[in-house]
Amino acid sequence: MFDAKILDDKTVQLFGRFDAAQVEKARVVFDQVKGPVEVDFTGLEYISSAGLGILLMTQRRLKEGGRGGLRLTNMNKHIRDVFQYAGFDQVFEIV
Amino acid sequence: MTEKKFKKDFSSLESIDAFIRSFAADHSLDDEMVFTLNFVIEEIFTNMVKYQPGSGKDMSVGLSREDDLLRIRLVDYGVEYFDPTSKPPVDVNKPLEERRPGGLGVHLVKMYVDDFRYEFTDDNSIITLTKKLKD
Repeated sequence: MFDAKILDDKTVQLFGRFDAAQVEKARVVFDQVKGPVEVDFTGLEYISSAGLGILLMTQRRLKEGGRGGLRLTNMNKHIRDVFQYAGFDQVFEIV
Repeated sequence: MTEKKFKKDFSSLESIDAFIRSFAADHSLDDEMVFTLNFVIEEIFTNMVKYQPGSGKDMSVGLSREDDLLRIRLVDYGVEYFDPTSKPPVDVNKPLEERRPGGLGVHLVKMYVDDFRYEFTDDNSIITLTKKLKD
């Protein structure tokens, strides 16, 4: 079960499985992000390229608007590997 | 090979995860391999859903383990020829402004598996992936 919650203006929390079936649900949440935020992956078990696509398009929108970017935190090892394979460690701040 | 059919729709992904976890439990596969199987199967499955709507027949997903080799087989029935293995590689070093999400999934599948084959017979698209297990 996937969920994405905006806690405040500074944090988005992700939970569960971020797969292709969750793209529209996630898009509604990330479209509300207007400035630099932390995306907390603590509760996220899994992500596929569909999830990567949502994060990528959000990052582009923020950067192109000069509005900072996403700071991705607390990824599990498997998710971190996906980001590295995709070269996304070069376009996101991952801590 | 352990096989199961799934509705050709994104909503099947949770059921596919359950199928993978059941197979993993029966074949002593760890969490990393559960993640890898979910990832590569989702990428191929969703590609078939998006680009090969075809007949709308259920698709089959099969898994087998022979010693240190895992085989993954997806069959899409009653469709036209569509070979994802021939897609050009994605440049993962491009700057942000030149990045596009398209094509990334298949590119990543190639990084996770040791062999990625496409066959087309009797209007069926068949993808076979092979993954060597670590010691």
